[in-house]
Amino acid sequence: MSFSLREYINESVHVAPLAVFRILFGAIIFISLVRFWLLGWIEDFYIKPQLHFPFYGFEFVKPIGSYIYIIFAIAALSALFILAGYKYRLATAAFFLSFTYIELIDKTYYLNHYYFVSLVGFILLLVPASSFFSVDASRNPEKEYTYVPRWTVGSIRLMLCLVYFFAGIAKLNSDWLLEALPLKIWLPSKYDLPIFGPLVDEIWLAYLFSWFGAFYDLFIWIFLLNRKTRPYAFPFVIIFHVFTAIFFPAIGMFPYIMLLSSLIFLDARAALYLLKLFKKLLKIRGISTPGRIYPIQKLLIIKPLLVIFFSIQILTPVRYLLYPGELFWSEEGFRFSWRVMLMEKAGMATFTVKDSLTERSVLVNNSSFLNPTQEKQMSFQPDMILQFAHFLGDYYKKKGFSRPQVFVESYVTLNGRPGQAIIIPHTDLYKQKEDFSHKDWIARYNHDIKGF
Amino acid sequence: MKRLFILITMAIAGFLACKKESKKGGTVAGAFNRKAILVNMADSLIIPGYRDFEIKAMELDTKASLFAGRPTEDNLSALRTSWLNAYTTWQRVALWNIGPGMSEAMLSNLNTYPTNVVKIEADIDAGGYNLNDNFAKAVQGFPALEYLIYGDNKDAISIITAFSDAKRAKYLTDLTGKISALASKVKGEWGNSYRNTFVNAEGLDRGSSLGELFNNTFLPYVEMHNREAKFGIPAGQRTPQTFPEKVEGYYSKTYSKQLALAAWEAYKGAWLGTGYTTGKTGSSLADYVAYMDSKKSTQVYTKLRNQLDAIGSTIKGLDNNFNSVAKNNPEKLKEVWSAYQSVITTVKTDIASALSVTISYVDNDGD
Repeated sequence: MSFSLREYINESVHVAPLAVFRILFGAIIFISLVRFWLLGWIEDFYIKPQLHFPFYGFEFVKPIGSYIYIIFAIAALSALFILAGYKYRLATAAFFLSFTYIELIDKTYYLNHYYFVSLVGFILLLVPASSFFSVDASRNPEKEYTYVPRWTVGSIRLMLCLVYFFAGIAKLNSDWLLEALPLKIWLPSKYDLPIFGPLVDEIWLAYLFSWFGAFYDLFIWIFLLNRKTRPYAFPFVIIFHVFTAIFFPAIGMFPYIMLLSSLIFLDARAALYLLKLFKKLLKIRGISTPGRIYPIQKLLIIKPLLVIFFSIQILTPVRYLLYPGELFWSEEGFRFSWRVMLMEKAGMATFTVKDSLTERSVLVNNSSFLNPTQEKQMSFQPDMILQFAHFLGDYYKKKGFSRPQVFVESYVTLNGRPGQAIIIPHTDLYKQKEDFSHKDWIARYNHDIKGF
Repeated sequence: MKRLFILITMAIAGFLACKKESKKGGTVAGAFNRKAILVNMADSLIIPGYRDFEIKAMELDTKASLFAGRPTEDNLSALRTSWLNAYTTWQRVALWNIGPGMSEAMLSNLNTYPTNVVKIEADIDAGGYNLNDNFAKAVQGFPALEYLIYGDNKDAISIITAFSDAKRAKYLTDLTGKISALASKVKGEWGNSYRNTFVNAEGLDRGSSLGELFNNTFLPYVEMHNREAKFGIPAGQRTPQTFPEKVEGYYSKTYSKQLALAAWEAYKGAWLGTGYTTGKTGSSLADYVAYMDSKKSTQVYTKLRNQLDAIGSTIKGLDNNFNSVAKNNPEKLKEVWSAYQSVITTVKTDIASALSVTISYVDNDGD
């Protein structure tokens, strides 16, 4: 078995799907970044805020004021270079580093698809996606190869399979399947949609969407992988993502990125057909098909790197099993796990800083330190509450509190259930430290959500 | 490939066709009419409110001109009455800090307090001032008027005497003239095109009227202009010291409570859809909360009503003059602060969640 698997993944396949993916990925990322820029979010998210919420272990990643525009320009430009397949290695490296840097500054803005983009950026850096239908290849025929080992195309496919699979597993819980939550709450707010508006109050619609979504995520990748079922799978991909885009415009670029990414599953013939279409549209000179095979020895170091990479990718989403308590509540091990659109959560956190020496105390106005998005995200995520508490403790220490203590009165509602405190009252958060162990100052959730 | 395209087209066409069919069936039974909330709010609360405010503001302007022309004790007392009427009516419309009310910056133009007495006197002396200057918010509106007609611990005679100065009289009518002009302008815009803009901006996303209301009236307005400004700041809720001079009705010494109660009642009415002139409840956001409650068997509606009522009864237990309350018993003001805080917590969490209204406009993962 292991022998035949090895042979299978090393088999030479046409590079066209990889080239198609490279082009579409470059294009959609470029559009996303320009959109982000035009919406004024660079200023709002990365320049204006007084403080940021870095990821644990990445506290050294600091914002750089207005220079962040340069980083965004680098990311956008390198996305275009990736699209064109121009100076490909340099472009992918620049893209991966610049984009990941931006994402690491503040977890407030964490989105699963940004994480996905970073990961794909990393994979693209390793695989020879510019060896065909690219500026690099047309300038230097030495760099043009038509056939690559299957695992190079397969690595991006595997990445997508993992995303779908884990997103599907995450939906196998009592709230999603048995209560149709949070869709039961979200759908009614879409009452003004054309055509669908009159249906949103129907309970069956919430169940239909929940179950269809779960089945879709759990199985679509299998149908995409299989050549025979693939033509039937694509319409579902389109319907699913178009629907999510219509019903949940707030998820931004996610449906479009996933829609285009799924074209990595095209077979060589269809991918070549698409490339010829691009060629006609862009009036590019002919695609030469020299039929050269990408030299395997150039990929020797890359394969083990990908093995490590994917092992991490498989373990990360299940790390939550190491923590006690309800995952949706404590969010210990929630991020980087393809848990998307799973819960409706809102909270309010009121901080008091006290000087235990003088008994002086101050009630904090969150909005004088945080922007609305930061305040909203912080108010229901315990690790962010802790980060903000430490910021406040340090801040008031400078203001003359010799022994600051930071307390929070918190109130969080999850999937429409009556709210409760998420932090055990009277916990001095300034004494608590962030690490990977369980945070025992998170209050127990009064409800039970069964499943994954 | 061809087969693929045919399949896609068929699938989409099929989906749209069957959806359209179900629309022909008309409105689904049990579905909740959200548009009625906006219609009721515009036609029974906001527009009658601004209409009344315009009348009161014009009355105030008239009485101010009378007094300016003939500063007598009777005219002063009539002016004071119309000032109180207009100020109280303002509290009933102040919460509509959306659309025209927001673009005219009504909140800061009409009710910035404490008023800047030093600058007012300097402006009167100098004669040349620009009320539309961004730094002139604290020398106009109801608090500035209050200073002019009640004075800082002055008796009626000395106030009247001061108005023999024509520059002071002109300043007075400039202030009432501006209030009256703003009131007419905002009322006019609501009566004109904004009413339809408001009623037709459906949904709960970016740009919708309900979204705007949550991002202004139902949260920031009540947080900043009621919880903090009326109670938190004078009581020193967030500061080591109290600020007894930062209250409404500072110079008249009698009306803080009346004004605060009017603002609270208007806020409660906005939730319950209480008609401005009729006093009867119509289609409301609270109904929508109750409707969502019924979907997931929660009791947010009852909680909201109880918490809103609790604010009222806490305010009613206070003395009329918040200045003396802040001096002698700031804890009493803090109790109202807490009562407001409870409502705000419910609105920001339970209700925003149940209605899935967008509070900050940014892409999200649905968490």
